[in-house]
Amino acid sequence: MEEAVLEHRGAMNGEHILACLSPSPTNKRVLEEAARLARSQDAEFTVLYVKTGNRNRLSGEDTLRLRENMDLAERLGGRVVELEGSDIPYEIARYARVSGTTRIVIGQSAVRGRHMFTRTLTDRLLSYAPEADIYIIPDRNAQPQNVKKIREEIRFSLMDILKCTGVFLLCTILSELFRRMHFSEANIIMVFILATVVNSIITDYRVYGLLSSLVGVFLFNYLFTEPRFTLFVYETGYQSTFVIMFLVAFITGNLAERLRRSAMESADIAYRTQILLDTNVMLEKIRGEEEILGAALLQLEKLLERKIVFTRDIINGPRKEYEYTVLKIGRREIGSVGVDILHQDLTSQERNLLQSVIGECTLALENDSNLKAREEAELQARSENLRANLLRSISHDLRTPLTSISGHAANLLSNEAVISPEQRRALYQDISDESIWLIDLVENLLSISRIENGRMQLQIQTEELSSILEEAAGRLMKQAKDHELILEPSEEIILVRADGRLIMQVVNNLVGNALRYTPKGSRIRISASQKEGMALVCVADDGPGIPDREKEKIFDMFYSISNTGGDTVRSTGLGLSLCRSIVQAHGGAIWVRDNDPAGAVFEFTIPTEEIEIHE
Amino acid sequence: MSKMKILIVEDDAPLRNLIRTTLYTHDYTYETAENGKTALMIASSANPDLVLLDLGLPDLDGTEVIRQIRTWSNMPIIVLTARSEMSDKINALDSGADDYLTKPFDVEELLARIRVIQRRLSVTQTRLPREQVFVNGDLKIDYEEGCVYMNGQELHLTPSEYKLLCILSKNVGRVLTYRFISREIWGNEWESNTGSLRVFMTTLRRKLEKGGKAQTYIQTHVGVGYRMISL
Repeated sequence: MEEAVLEHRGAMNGEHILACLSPSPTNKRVLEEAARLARSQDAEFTVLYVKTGNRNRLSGEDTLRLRENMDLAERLGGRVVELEGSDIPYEIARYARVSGTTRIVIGQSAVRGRHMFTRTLTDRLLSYAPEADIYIIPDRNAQPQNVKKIREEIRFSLMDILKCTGVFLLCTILSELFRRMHFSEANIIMVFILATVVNSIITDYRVYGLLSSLVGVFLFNYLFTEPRFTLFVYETGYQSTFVIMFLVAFITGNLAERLRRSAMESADIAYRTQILLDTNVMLEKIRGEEEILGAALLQLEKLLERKIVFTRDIINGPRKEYEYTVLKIGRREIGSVGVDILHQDLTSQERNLLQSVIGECTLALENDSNLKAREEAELQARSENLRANLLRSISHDLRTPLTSISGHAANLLSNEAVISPEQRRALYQDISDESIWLIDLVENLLSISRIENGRMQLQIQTEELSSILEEAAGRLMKQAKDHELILEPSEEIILVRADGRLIMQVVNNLVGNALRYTPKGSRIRISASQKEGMALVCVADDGPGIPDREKEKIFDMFYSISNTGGDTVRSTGLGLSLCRSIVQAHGGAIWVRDNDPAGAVFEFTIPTEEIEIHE
Repeated sequence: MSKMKILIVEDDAPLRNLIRTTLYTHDYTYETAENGKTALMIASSANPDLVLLDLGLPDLDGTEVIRQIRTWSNMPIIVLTARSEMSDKINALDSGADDYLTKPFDVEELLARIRVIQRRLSVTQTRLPREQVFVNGDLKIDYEEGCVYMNGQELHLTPSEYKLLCILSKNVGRVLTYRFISREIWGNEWESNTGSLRVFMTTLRRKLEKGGKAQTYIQTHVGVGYRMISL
């Protein structure tokens, strides 16, 4: 195998070996080498055969050998896949891309250029499938090349014969006219060459071009050379005229026919490219495996006008009324796409379309899964970071209140008699206040623990906003003894899609902050309104307000305003950051602005809901 | 008012101690149980007036204890839960618990909840079993006529609002879950009912408040349900 490896380019993980099947007798060696390679690499092994359309039929001998080679491929543990297409390297490369092939094994006989001036198959394969390694198995038996000779099937259709006859009839009438008008014979010869060219273009098989050239020469001879209505000629120069006329007609006809064929092929390729492009553009916009699959299947259904099914089972080939193709993301087989073949088998054109769309779908799925993996990795890193910061911040913030609670309790236990009743009351009050602070902190932590992978897990329900605000305000009243807390009633009923407890917590944190950061006697107002599908909740105070440079930063985690309140105000820097997480998870926004004439207004939005009332 | 006998079921000693001290200082009699099995035994033998039940017990699931008690008794049960057990709380209420308290709770709050139950018990004891008129503060509901009065003035309620009010009044003092109310009104527990329920509840509350003094008859328990309190 060492010398077999002629070409070896960039390695990849997840091996999948593709061998190219052909009716060549040397193909057995290709298959054996590929199977050996697959075994040694523990790789997936697929054998691909590209049928080159119905124009080129195989001889009986070749068909038999092809069958033998296919059997061999299956015995060697390969999965045989048949494709149809005129451009063999393009089909191989496309299949390789779709199936995630890492190595392509191909025989030298296939590589040997059939056309001297076109690029060799290997070159084209390399340019179409740059990700795959290509192995070329040398052909030591040096079989004569006639193996590859492809015989054209001669098929006569009445339609083609009628067309040719019609053209010749027309050209004969025209020539007769020319003769009567005493035009030179050169004109008549030209008319017959024209007829041959036209025939080559309008008929499907090359044989009509050949026949037309011959018929043209004979008609000219029979009808227009002296003696007329015989196949004899008087003048000796005519023999060479006939030969040249035949050659010119044949060659031009052939060229015209080839031109027509390549135009058809390029139209076909252009059509497929367009479809691929459309599918690609469409799939690129979609995220998520289910969605991509859905869109691709819909596209297939539209293009093929057949029923398309998808199953999570891995099925390849026809089963009942469907023909299945396995869909993969990298090496992972995710299911099979079935096309309805109950009434009609797939044509090669349809098969090509199917392969193209599935190819694009696979690419889109791969991109999507790569993107997802990357995002997950990023989130993981971010939440790890978050957790570390959180732990650091909390253990620091828990220490202070716990110190005073345990200190006060210890004092009361050992020195109860010494401490005056007023002092005792003050200590009790401190213990109570500090505990409330701890309780709030724990509430926030519990909510933060619901943030998984950077996203908050919500228990969304339809809620009535004013009852949430009432409930939140009711709980805060006791803490707001020294402040004036006002809940402004709203006239309209505002229904929101929200996790009620979390929205309560947002209000709780906002009001809690206002209570903490504004002097005693300040007024705190809670109000709600709705506009354009969003509910707006306002918590406004008339305290000192928040300086502009702090406004952006206060919603960041672990940020707390320095130099305001000194030691008397304690903050974990969790509250507002949590508020932002909660509001954003609901699809809303939160911000702060200045109150008039003084103070801060915290506002947040959450989506409202339109409902149908069930009476 | 006769002395209430309360069964405390709590496995955490300091918390049990706290509840016991609170009840003692407020002149209630009490029994204590550390696990579900003892709780069931005392509940059946001592016949307490109220059970304070912790949901997280070492041997039995708290909800299971409620279910077993409900097979033979309608004694009021207040459930004590930690916040993270949100769904447990709702399950407990649906299994027949009357009320819930979330840890950490205020001692005052605990006492208030006990008083609510106490009031309800005294009301139901004096009321005839199949009473046609419900009176709570300024609110009067005549089930027979299907009329609602506030301060003697008739309130005009929609059929759904009336149905809702009846469900709340017949379970006065109990926290009713959305699931329960939804089943009672629409016969199913569909998500889509929640929005309607919110609207009816809001309009109902506004009508009740407009008719009388600014008193709260219906409490909202965000994320859990509603309760009519007996005044």
